[in-house]
Amino acid sequence: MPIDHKTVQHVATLASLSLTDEETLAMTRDLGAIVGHIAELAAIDTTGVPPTSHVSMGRTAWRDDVVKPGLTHEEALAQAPRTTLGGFAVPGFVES
Amino acid sequence: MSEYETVIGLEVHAQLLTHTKAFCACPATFGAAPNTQVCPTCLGLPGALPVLSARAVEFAVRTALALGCTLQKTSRFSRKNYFYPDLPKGYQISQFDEPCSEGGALSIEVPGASGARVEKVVRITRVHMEEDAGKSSHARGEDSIVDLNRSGVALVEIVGEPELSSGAEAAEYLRSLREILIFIGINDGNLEEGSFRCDANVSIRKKGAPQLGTRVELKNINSFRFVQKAIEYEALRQQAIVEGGGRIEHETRGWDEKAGRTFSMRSKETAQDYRYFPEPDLPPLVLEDAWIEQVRQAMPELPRAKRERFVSQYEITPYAAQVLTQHPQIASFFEHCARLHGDGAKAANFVQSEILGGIVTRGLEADFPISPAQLAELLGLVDAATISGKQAKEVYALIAGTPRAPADVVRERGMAQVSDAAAIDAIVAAIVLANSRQAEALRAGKASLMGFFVGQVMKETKGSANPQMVNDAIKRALGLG
Repeated sequence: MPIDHKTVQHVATLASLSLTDEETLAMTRDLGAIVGHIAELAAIDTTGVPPTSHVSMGRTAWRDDVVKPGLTHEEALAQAPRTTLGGFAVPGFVES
Repeated sequence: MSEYETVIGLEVHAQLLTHTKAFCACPATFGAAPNTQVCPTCLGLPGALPVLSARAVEFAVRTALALGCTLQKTSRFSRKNYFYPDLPKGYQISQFDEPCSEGGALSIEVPGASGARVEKVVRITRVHMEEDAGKSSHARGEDSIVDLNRSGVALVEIVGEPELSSGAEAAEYLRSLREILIFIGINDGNLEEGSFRCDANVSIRKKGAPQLGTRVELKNINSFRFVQKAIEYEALRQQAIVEGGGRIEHETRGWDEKAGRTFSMRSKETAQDYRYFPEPDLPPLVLEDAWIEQVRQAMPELPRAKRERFVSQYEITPYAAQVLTQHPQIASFFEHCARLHGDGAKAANFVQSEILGGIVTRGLEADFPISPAQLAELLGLVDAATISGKQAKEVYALIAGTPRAPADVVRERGMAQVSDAAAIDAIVAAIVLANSRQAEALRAGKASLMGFFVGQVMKETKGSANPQMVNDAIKRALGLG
């Protein structure tokens, strides 16, 4: 997949990043090189090979539906840059 | 008649009534202080791994079975990536291209052409598992506050085909679906607390047109009545735009109940790109046939089947069956009492006329003023003519909220009806003797005097005589039988 200016802008939007023109240019070059390298895999014939999404061949484990203690309120908020009224404070975003 | 038709497809998110969240052992209960039911997994801290609740799988499978979906023996969890402050991991674990079930149906009753209600079958695209996001609210000033207690709570998403054609049909679909989820015990149906949420995709098209129009998503509407009104408004709004030569914008809209209109929340022009990919932390979800069979066997009775059974087994009207199945606990209370007492119709009548008004339901729970056993005993006292139907209501008022036996209250209060024919005859004879003039007149045909004699007997017995027996005794005494 070729990485062009538009692709980088799109990915930046999804990641909520604002890139300058220079950064976009650099990203286009770097991402292009990385993805281009990975694209060498496309040379391998994978006809009839199912996509591998997990290295383990197992199935997902189930747990009993029993409550176990998690973090205390203080622990939960300990690493928050800012807190308000017992919650994580973030810049206002709720749509009115 | 409008030349347009409305096309509606509904997506319902229902919180599963598991004790814990989908992928961690935090409690999933509603209403705790913010951020007190969290752990590294649902906070999205680095290195924490999800482990699926078995009960969540069971409840999702129950939902799929109740809607007649085909279960997939192997399904997969995916990451749905987007950035929002209430989504700490930056992705939601959901099911995407390989959901756990597909292809069901929900049958609803809608008004037909003649006004009679007809059945409409709406196809269900899929039922899949996912996790809820946290909750955000406004603080004073500029901040929003994020509470992650809800983050990771287990959900099923039920996606319906765009086959509904009016707001009323959509509301009926939601009511029927909610009822099923409540009866199978997987969801409490609480719209206010957001445990049952609905998004409606609404579009219009020229009647008979094969293509669907551009759809608008109606979100965050927390009552069925509002969903109906929002859809009705939206259909007219879209029609006006199209008729004015405009183009419908693909967007998300909310409902402003005060203004009675929908409003734009965000445009979808910069289309969402969730970059789904298989969740590397969770291998495939595998359902064994034997396990599915166990879930199927343990499946609670569906509301419609219960109503039909009530009508045939207890010989009650379809209306009564409807009223008595408005909540699983009410249905169970009625049925328990009907079994103990033996006469379903009598139990149904008393429950409907006296008891229903006083029942408080909270989610799947309900508080009853008396037990089925107390009610069965009370109805038994009426059957045995120990008390009258009217007295049964008085006794009910006395025992409501207490564990007292109705018979004890009847005895204590001297309420037992005099049903001893000889005793009643003796009283009647004395009264006829003392009122010979009125007796003559009644004998001669002045029927209104019957009430006078009944009244005298009731006065003498302090209202405890069996009214039917009193009537018979008076007629007998005067040779009117």
